[in-house]
Amino acid sequence: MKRFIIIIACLLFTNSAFAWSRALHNAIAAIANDNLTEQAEANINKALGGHNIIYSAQWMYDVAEEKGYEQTKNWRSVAFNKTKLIKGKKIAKHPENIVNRACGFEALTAAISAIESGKLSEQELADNIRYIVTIMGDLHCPTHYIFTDMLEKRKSYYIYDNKKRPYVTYWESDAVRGTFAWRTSEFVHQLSRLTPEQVSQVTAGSVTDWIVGNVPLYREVFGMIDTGTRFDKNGLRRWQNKIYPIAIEQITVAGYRLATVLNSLFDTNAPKVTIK
Amino acid sequence: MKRFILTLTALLICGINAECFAWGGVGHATIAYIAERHLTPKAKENIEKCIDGKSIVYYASWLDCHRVDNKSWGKLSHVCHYDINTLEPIGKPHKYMKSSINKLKKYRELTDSALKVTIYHFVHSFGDYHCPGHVALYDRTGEKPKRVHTSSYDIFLKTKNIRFGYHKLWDSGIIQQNHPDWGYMDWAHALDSSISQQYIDSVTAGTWEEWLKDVATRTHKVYNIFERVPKKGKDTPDNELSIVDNQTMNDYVEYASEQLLIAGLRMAKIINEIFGE
Amino acid sequence: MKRVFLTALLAMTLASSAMAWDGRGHSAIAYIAEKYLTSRAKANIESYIGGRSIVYYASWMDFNRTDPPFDITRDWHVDYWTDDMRTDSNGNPVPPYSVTQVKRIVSEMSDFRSLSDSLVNVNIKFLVHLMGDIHCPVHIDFPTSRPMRVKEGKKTLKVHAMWDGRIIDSKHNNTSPSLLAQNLDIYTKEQIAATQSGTLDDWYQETVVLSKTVIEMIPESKQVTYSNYFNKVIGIAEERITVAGYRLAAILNSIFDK
Repeated sequence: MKRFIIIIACLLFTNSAFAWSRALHNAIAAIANDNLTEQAEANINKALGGHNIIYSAQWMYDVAEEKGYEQTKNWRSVAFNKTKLIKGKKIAKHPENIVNRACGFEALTAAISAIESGKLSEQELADNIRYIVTIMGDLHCPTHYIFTDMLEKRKSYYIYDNKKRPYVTYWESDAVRGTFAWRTSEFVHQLSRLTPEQVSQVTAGSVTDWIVGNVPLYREVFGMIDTGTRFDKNGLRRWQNKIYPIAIEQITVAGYRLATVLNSLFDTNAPKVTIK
Repeated sequence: MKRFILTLTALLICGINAECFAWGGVGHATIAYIAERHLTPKAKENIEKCIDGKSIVYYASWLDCHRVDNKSWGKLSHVCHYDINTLEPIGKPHKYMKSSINKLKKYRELTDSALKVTIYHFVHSFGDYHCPGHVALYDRTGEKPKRVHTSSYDIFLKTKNIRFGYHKLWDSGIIQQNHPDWGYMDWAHALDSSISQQYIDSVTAGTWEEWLKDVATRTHKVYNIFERVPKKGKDTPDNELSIVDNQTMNDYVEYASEQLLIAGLRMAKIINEIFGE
Repeated sequence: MKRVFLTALLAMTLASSAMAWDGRGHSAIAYIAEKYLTSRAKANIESYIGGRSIVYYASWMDFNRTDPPFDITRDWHVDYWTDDMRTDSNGNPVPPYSVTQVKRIVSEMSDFRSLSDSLVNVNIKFLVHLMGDIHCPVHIDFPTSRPMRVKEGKKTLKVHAMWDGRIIDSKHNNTSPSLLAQNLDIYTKEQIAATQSGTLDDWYQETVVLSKTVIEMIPESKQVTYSNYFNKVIGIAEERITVAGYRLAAILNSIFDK
């Protein structure tokens, strides 16, 4: 029995480590790809051996078991003391194990700085582009925000037809797939249509502003359900109707912000994004 | 065909995601996307202005998802009723749809919220009404109308020894039978690559009521393809069982594909007429 | 109910056991080919298939091989080999079914306008599918690889089934066939021309070589992961799909661009 519980725990952890599902990572990369400038797209595709960023959207997950890339498993989330971002040495020293693995912000900003330095080998440049593509997606998924005062909310689940589902797992895929059965290109058709004013609005500020700015909404998301909530069929649908617009908005915003970062790094004429 | 069963099984197992969609989310989106591809630039711009700049495809299944949020939305039936002798549309569902089309014709007079819901209803139900599982035929010769064409009998795929409901077969995504990996763009591309203007003119000729009659006529034929036998111990139409083979199922998919294309082209015609000016 | 469930489970296990590439792989090949059709060839082809795209019919052969009259095509998809050659039941070497059929169709279609519409229609469906099968490594089936199973986590997979869909899925999950095609179609004009040179027999030989390679690359433990198998072979799968698309275009252009 104990072994069974360990196996289940491993499965749950594995799932929760995926932030958005691979499908939604593809969607974010595709929206970003659609909003790259010509110069940025050409430079990036050259660095990625002719492939676009959609091709690399899941790469950080694919190599997580490869030698030299093991640390990337800790780059998928960020942690907060209520609304204060936990950074630097405080991450490793934190008593909660889940916080010790929340190095997403550090990894994202390190990758941006590394590319800005212009001192990377071809392989390092390609790797760092791919890190940014995946981490920007992860850091726009509400359940990849670890709030130390809301840890019990991470265990929340909803029950439907007597099926238990961890709340974090729900967000990975069902938050969108429960309503839209879109493929990657279709996310672009549906969501890559913000007006210039809307783009300015969602991409204003620094990378830190974006991550910290997500906090109020994401805390609200964790507050939207209580452990043991049991929905009937219609109740579940009503709840999904509240969730999916948030998920769709975050995927859209992530895509545009990813494009903004990459344009900043690979188009000499594009506005520069700052980290702080 | 094996993939079909895989898909059906997956849909049964993961039913939580699929159960609220008539044609299936992909089918409804395909119809709306085919329509969008045939909109004039002006019509596209005008209708998207009414729905916050989004594509009509975004709202292709909105009514299915949100009918639980508002009683009046829940009343908008998704099944169209017909007289079995004349195959003319009858009853409230048809009236609701006709009313929505008439409202759209005067869309500038509607409030923003009323206009949005009317568009959502039109975009979704237009697809529903071209779905064979959403056709109900009534015999009105007696004192009370009697539903004689039911969509709740079972289909038995004899080569695979598997059984599923006629209505569920369509609702659970028959169009995904052979192409579970296709999205709406793939379907639209595959079906609407280089169809002729002559074809478009032929399927979009006539009035809305004539289109519905066409759907009922064609669906009635499909419905009657299957030889049905009563389920054990029961002999009402609702409990009949139809035994089909792979070839019939392939024909079925072909019919569904054609319905998606026709529905999209007809939807485009109406939107162009209303929003193209 | 139990019986239906067991049947469904059985069907899931067998689902793609002989599908070559899954529907997405075949569709992606057709998408790539379609992009490189000349406008005249495309128009001629689509006039025989009701204005639809060839993508619609990429897996048509898989769906129509169990019932007459197309049950005669059942054996065209996979070539069963002994250790180093394809033989008949008497052990005599015989040419592969798929290649033989493609050669026959190409020859028959050299004057396609003299054929009936229905024959041209069905030959298009055959070509679109068989060119995918010919490029799929596990469609050359050896006695050693046939019964082989691998495990991914706790899930057991036939090697054939793994190559039908799981390999591509490992990197391109939820990617539609059109985007898959777009992601793979990155060859230069010169590279495309190079893939299109040679004969059908040459192309088949490439698959023969790869069919052994991909089996040899399976770890001894038969436990496959991203790092010990998927990441190593994904390039092979992507290359076969891409090249199949370019070559399908070349064949269709040679027939219909006139």
